[in-house]
Amino acid sequence: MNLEDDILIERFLRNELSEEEKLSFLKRLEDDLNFKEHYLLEKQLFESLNEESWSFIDNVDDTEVKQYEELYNSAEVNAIREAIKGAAKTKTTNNRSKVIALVSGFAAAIIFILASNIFLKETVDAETLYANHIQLEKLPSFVTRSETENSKLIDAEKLFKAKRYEDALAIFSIELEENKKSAVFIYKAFSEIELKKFDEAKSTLKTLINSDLIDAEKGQWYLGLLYLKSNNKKEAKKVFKKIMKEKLYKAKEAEEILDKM
Amino acid sequence: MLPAQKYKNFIFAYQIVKMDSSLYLNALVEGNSRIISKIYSTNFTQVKRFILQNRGAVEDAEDVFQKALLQIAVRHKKEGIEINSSFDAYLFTVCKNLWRRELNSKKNRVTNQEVIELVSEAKENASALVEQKRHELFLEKLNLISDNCKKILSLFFAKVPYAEIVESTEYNSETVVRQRVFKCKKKLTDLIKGDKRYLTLQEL
Repeated sequence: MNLEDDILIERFLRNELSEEEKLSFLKRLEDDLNFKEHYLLEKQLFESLNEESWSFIDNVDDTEVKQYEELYNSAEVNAIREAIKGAAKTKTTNNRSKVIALVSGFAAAIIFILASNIFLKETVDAETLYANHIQLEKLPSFVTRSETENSKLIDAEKLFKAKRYEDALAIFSIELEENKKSAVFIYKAFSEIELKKFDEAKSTLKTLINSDLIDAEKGQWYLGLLYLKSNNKKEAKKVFKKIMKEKLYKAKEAEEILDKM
Repeated sequence: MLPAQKYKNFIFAYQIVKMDSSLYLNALVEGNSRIISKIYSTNFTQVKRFILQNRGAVEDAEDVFQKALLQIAVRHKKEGIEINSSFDAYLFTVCKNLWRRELNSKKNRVTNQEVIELVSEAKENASALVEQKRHELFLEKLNLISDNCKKILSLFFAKVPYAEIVESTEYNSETVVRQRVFKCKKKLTDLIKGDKRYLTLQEL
């Protein structure tokens, strides 16, 4: 393998080849076994050693997979599976027992009320609620078909998706000075949230809420999520109640969260 | 502290870690529910936090945790694995990789909707196990090359642009970095190809 071929494989894996180059690359894979072998190992390394991806097995000699498959189907492994499931159930039961033990010192009536709250209504901690409702991958994208799209914002979005929040935040902050779009406010706020700069995130979202942008009301929803993330349940409840009452963006979800809190 | 004493302490600590690992591994294979519950109470919260922070729900965390324990048990039963780090750290890595696999298989399902086929759970678990073995083989070999090569390849495989690699290393141009990546990759791939375990794991 020479450096030139190595660069070619890398460019293919990074999706940097033109359509014509791609076709010629695929043809070479069919004809040149040595080249194909290098390509496959390089692909596996790329996928396996990159945290964002995973290297699946395709077309390997399946003897080993079949041996493990048989083992997974065996009675012995089924017994282990049941033991693991049993331990998971014990863990849940133990947690409940601890809750019951804690309240056992109170009067029977209070126990009844508490038990009703614990067992009839599922309460969920703030962090779990945040994690269940935040969908960072569904934030609006700056990549459009328009020719006037802002390349800086696209770069910042890529950095954000690569979890490089400090770098993303730097670009969003500069962009906001001239480009006051709701999406930029939201990305900036979430970069700050991920960096645990909760006060700054609050200030960003409040600026969005007080703006005359069409999506200003969305800021309330994200503000509620920010309070959940920073474990400020009291403020979170206030915001979600407001969203529900005024039928703002995500009113139904706000109701669901309030129900679980 | 004298170097000899330091070494003794290190060996002692290492033996304790090993003892703990084999205790947990054997307990899993034997289906010892008391020790499996202990593994749960020590490790589940950390795994749950990781999955919630990475687009998953509590049920996903439970599923991944149980699959990881079963994967470790099955591997230990068949080939008697040895864990060089702590059991907890190893379990977390297996959970993390199973979740990486799940997220990427969802992605593949979206892009290849026309080729969806039903695969048995046992086959899926067996494939995930073999993939984990291949991942560990790659990491083992990566740890055998020089620190400098390891650093440059880690950046390269994380798809860090060459310009940024130049900034974070002592090399002064992208061309030099490219050549260095090429040489380091050659060392790594030679080591992998020279290991007989890779023969059963390579694609045909």
